[in-house]
Amino acid sequence: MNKRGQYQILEEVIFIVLNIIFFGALLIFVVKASAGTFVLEQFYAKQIALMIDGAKPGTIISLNVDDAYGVAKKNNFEFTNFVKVKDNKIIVQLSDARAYSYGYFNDIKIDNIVYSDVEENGKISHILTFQVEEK
Amino acid sequence: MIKLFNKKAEKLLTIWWFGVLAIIGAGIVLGTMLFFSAHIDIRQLEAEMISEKVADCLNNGIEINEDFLTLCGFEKSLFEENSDYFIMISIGDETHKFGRSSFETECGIKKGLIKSKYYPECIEKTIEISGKKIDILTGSNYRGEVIANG
Repeated sequence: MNKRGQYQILEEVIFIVLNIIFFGALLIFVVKASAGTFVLEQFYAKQIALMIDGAKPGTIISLNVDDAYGVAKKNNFEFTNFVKVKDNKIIVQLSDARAYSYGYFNDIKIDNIVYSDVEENGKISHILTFQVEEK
Repeated sequence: MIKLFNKKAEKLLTIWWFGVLAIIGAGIVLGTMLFFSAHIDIRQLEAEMISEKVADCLNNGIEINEDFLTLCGFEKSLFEENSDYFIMISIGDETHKFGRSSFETECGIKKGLIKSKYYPECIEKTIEISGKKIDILTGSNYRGEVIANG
């Protein structure tokens, strides 16, 4: 192969590699953004509020919070009390910067908010459990 | 870099190509940030749940009076005039309203062609109890809030 041909191939290889790097970086950015702190805080606050709104007194709710654990760990945030309940509002916090709060309209009381690590088939799951009680 | 390559061959690594990549990248980054910073909208689900709860209460024979919300298990303070929720129960000529009454008009407007994210999400339902037709209209415009520094 002559020098001209070698340069042509080299250019094509660089072109393909740069494209892969660029679109790979974009993909990583989108995936990371979709599992960001703000998105997860909103997601858990709203999910818990909806669960409470649909629950009857006496219900015990367990929720897998693996995603939240991962984000809190990344943010060096104390995970054990990432969910708080105050004045009919669920407050979810996964970083020191801010929290997200969402209200529920059901006239009930939330009790025994417990966070626990449960081992299943050699894998540790992070579970949040709380009880819905009559006011 | 371009000068290194054969000028007669088709050039791939041009300044235009980098320009196109920059535009695509900026577009995707901006779009993603806008999409994920937007609120996850559960107002329709809330309106549906309120509607179901009201229908259950009426089915259980709870009378519509001042204590209706409390007896139904709603937090009464969240259904005042300046709140983000609304319930309207119509039985014949009789109409009972709880919560922000302006939602009645806004729900009506939204039923038409006008789409506005600032208007509440509403659910209309008709049930029949003992031969009586009961119309239930519920709405939610609650959006939650971000608390700075926890």
